[in-house]
Amino acid sequence: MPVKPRDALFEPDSAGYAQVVGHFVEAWPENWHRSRLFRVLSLGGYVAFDLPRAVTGLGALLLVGIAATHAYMWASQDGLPRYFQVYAAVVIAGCLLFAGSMGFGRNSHVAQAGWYFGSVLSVVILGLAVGTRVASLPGMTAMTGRWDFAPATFALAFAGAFIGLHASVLLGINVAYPQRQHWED
Amino acid sequence: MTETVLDYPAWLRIDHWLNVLFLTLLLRSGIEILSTHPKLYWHDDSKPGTEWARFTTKKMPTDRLYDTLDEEEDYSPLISLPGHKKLGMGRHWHFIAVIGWILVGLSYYLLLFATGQWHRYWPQSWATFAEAWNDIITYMTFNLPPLLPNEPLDAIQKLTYAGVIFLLAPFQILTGAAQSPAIEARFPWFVRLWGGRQCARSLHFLGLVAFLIFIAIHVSMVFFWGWGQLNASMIFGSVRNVAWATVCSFLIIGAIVAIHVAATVWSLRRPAQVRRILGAVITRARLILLRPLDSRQNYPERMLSDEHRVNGKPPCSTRYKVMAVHNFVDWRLRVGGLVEQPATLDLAAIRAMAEPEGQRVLHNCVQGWSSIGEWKGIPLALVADLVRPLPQARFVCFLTMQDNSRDEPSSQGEGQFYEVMDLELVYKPQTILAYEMNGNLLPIKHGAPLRLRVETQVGFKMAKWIYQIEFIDDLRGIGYGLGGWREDNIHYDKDVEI
Repeated sequence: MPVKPRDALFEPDSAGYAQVVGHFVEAWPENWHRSRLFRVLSLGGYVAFDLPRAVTGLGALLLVGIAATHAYMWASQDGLPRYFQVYAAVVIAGCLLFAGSMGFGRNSHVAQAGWYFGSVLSVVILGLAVGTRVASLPGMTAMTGRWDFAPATFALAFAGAFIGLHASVLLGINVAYPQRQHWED
Repeated sequence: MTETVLDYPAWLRIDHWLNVLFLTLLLRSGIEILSTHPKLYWHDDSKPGTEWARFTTKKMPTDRLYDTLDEEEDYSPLISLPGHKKLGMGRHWHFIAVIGWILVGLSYYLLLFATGQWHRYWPQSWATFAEAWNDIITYMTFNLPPLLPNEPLDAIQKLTYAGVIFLLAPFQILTGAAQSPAIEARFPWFVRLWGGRQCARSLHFLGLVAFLIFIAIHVSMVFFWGWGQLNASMIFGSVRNVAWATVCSFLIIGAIVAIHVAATVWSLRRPAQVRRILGAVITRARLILLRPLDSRQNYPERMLSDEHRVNGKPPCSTRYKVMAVHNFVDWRLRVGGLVEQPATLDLAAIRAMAEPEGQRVLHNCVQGWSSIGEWKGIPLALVADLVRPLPQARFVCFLTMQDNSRDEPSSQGEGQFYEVMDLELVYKPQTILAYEMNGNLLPIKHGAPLRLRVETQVGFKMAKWIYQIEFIDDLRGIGYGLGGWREDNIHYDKDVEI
């Protein structure tokens, strides 16, 4: 049997590429589930809840909370720079859209997308909320460069809680609508 | 009128630290109790697969009979008291701690109201709620809010303590009481008030979680507000020497931890001794408060559970199998011991003794699961009337055909299964020897041909696969002398109205 040149394995259209990548993609969740980190994070599998509607409701509520804090910041401060208004509008629209898709998306892909995009947005907010506590932004001296600004702390808490909740779903501790745990025993 | 000084009187300080001790004992022993059926439901049938929470990695087989002993988890003593599947010990610690906790709570309530200290917790006006919201905002700015004028707490602390002392603590006691078979049997409305037995159990668990969250926030707050100062107030009543107060706070916490360690080690090494000493107090309280309650249950037919979980696997001896194949025509019940007229009865004779007495009742397993079933049989009192117990008879021993060495690999002991109960329970309403369940002959997995139903007790007392009943005056000669197989081997309590 002729030996394949080493590089051919990594040509995207080669069978070798598919084999290697396929193996990696297939193996990584298994390795991940077997890893010590997964066992620790998922509490050894000893804690699991089957409350899909409550979890989805809580997730949606946390996103609405993030939207509300941004709406409050927008409404309560005068003369905010244009870039914050655009940012806040995107955050509010995104949060409401993702919360809606989580809660009303009967298609599990739509609901799942809501969770993933919600998490991405939460990570961004978490980064910005922490970053703007440390550094002051032009035109926003009343809201940034300080830790004692409660709406930012609320946004930070909601975003952190959302990421934590989504992580608990990914770890199998919780389950989100329209999925169920399907405990058959 | 003189305004009450909201300081830290000695009784308040003593009750606070006793509360820490009893509450932590309750939390750990509660987790031990949970570990024996680590699943929570909203419906009384505890149907497998319908649980809303599970704290186990075990997956039960779907192709063969398993029982609830197979579902028990072995938790670490780090989180449960004492850990390692010791439900009997967990129950003893839970009940002794609850007695202590209720007594401390009663003294606390009494002294709060007698001394006017209740003002420290009770909101004087609606404005306190608005101030509490302002306090939350202040905490979110990473600052500490102002204390209420002439009070030791800020508004959100005041409301939180009020919620814990006047709502959460009574809630835990009431949802705990709603899990007592004696209370459920006498007051079925009370358990329905909570949405049913399993709702009460789930709510009791959520109360435990609420206490854990409260403790985490409370300890954090003490840390942020000043560990030394606040502990000085809670230990000495005033702030004089902060360093000494800090040392003392850790000594007290260390003492509480030491009590937990001692209780754990003692329970794992000398369970029979723990059972005897703690049981002396618990049993007395139980007999005074719960023994007088009579069962008055009659659940509607629509509430009957489709499936009834199995606890204890059926006898698999050849003799039993042969009897089962022949519809138990060869089975005999021997009733003897301290009686005037010993008797041997077959199923037909038992059925002929009286019209069957039926009851639709809630079954409570000691592990925490439940179901509602309809049972038919004859009152045990009729059998007693037939054989006429002698005056010296004080107990009744039920011998069964189950042998744990052979039939129940999950059990923590060996030998024939037997149970002993007080003679007075024979004459309680709805105490029957059942030969039918849900309109059919009693299934093998639930005790065919004959089992006991005593509706004010938890399930393990209701012996299944019975073949002999003995009236006795002393239980010390039966097994290891503790009042039954489960009592002897897993150190359950003999009188189990809760």
